[in-house]
Amino acid sequence: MSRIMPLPAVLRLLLTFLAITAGLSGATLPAAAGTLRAGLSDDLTTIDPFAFPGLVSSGVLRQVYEGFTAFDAAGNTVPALATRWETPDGGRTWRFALRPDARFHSGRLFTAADVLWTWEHHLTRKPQPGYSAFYLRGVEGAAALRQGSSTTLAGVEISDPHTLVVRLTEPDALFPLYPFLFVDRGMEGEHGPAWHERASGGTGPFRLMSWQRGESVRLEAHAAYWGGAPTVDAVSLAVLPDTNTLLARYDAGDLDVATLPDNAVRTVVRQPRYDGQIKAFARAQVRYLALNQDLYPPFRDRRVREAVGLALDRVATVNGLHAGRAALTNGFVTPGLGGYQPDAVPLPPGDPDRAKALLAEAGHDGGRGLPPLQIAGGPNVREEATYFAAQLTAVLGIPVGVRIQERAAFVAAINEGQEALFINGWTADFPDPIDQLATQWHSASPTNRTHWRNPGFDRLMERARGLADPVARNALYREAEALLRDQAVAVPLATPQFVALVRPGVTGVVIRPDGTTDYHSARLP
Amino acid sequence: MTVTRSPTGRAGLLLTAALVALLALAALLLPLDPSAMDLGQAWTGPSVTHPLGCDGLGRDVAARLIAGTGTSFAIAGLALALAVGLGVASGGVAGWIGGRADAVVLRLADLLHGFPELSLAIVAAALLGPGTEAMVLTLALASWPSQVRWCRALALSSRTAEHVRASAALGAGPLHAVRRHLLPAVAGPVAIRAALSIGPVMVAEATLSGLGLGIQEPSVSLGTLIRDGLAALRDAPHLIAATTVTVAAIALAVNLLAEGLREGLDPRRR
Repeated sequence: MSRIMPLPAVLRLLLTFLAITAGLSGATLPAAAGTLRAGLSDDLTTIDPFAFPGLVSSGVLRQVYEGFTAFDAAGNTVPALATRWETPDGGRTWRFALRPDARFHSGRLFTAADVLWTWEHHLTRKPQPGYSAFYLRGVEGAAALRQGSSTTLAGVEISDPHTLVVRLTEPDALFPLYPFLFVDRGMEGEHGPAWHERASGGTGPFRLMSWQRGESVRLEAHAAYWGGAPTVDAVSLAVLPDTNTLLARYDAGDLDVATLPDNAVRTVVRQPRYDGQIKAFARAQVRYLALNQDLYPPFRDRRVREAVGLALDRVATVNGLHAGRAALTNGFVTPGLGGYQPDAVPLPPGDPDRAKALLAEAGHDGGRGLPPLQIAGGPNVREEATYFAAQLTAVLGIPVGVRIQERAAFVAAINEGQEALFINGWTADFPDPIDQLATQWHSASPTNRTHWRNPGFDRLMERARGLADPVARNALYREAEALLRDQAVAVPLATPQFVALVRPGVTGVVIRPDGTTDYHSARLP
Repeated sequence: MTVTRSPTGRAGLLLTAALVALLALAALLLPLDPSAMDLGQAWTGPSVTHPLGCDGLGRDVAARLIAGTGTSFAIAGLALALAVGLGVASGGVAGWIGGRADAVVLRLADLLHGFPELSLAIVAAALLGPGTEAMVLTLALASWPSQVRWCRALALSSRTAEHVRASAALGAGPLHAVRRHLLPAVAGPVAIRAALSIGPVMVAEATLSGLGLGIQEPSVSLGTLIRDGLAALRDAPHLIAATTVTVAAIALAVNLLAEGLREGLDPRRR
């Protein structure tokens, strides 16, 4: 046993002085070693894993909770809490082998009973079902449980703690891909109904330690994570919706990672001081100029829809508005999503003369008979909308305005079918093209914001959902994309990549195609 | 001339003349389209062809500043005309008639006056939606409470003035009193107050458009220029510099002019 040497009085005085000054200026000192500091583009809307999270909350909750499968950096499905999944009958029944070594943040082992509890809670949640109830609608007994005529989810069998069998009312090849967030079933009993505000109930690489509304979120490493403990001790996320503040904080050394808003990318990449610190990541998003044929009758004529596409110089926007950090295809699915490769159909170049000729053929020479038109969008597309509006004005022969609304108001307006022409986008929730095709274009989809309807397209989607073979499924997706192209239902636009500033020496930070930042492998210098 | 009687008024006139001359000269020498885009020129700094540089879509900032100033003046002018018209109609009548009508108008004005004008404008803009017409209405509604109280006070003091009572005693009807006594009495003070309000109303327009609640592209105003400039504050400060200097100069010129007018009309200073 070693004897502690008494410190000389002067040294003690010096240490006391240093401790006091450090305490006084604590706010400006660098973060503790091992804490990665990053920005959040907005405050969280919820930390309840049963509520609809939105993009920002989802990015945080996915650090804390996991599903059967996950996205990898290339847009493919990888196992998460399920190590194997198989169907003996073409997608009608699914047998999941669960990871035996996965533990919740409470220390409890993750089992099939937690899966069942999570699903039953989604279906019976009041006043509204949980957001995953949509994905569970095909499970046998889900409707009865929701209506209260049953107390259990009849279509789920637990043969042992790590094996789960799910029976569906009709084949669904995509069931293993759905983005469930499985929750520790002991949480509610221990902490009450608002347990998520007091404890972290997932299996993910980080536990949620605190959420200061409008200010910050703190995540701490889950040492017993099945994939190995994260390299960093913690992740501190500051809510910084203003780009100037975000960059000022990064420049001041307060942030290790600053994910840039799309409309800030081209200003940042021009700055030599950021050379070598800009990282771009592929995004599983489709973007398009949407045409609502119900609201704007001239759009029912295919020639008018085609003319809108030909009026725009979309190629120029890749460099001009996105500084080259964007992908532009002539399709409605992100290439590579779930291994999907679309047909190589080149994008027709902008051709205002041909557009004018098509409009004249349709009886709208010089804008005759065209009602007033505006391009609607959220604040992040203001420049793009203004750019396209000028080009449409020149071709259509009527003044085309821009209608920028606050994001929530814009989404509400397009969901209610109140906008005729708008810039829309959809980021895949799970790695399969159906999430970008059916959500946007199936006639029964609540997010079919153009209200375009085609029974042939609907049949393709329904057939694809029942095909367990990805090759056969992808063939149907290609057919569906060809139909959308042939009908000129919308004008595909460039999709920006996710771009972040990453401090030199920080490695392993990856933004997955669904927009979730993966901090598990992050390393600090 | 009333304005030139005071040094303040003369300074206002001088500044206004300088601003108008500068804008006219720029409009003549730089016949640029404020909407013409060239993505290759995005955020370029001041040059011979673009004296104030270009914005993020490669549009000439000087051309946009000229167009934006015109739009902002038009919006502020229309909004104030509407606010003054409504103020004279409701406040003037309430003050002149008195009684229950006066009480109703006054309570309504008091209620709205309880909110700061900008907060009121933000609520009105959110309810009416974006757009130039909505912006005129928003600013008029936000300015109405102060205008109505002012007009009511003027009407009330005119109604009880001795010369008005004397004319009534001599058999003059209410129309005569309104035409010969009320309107001439309120016209000057109302005009001065309206002129003094142009600066704040333009700033309110700039604020609302800066918040995204104002006018929409492709229209341009001083507010939209400030909004765009703020977005590129760190990397292209020239965008916002010219606009904020213009807003400040206009607000100063209008205030000096109005103050000069007030001093010129003040009988105590004659």
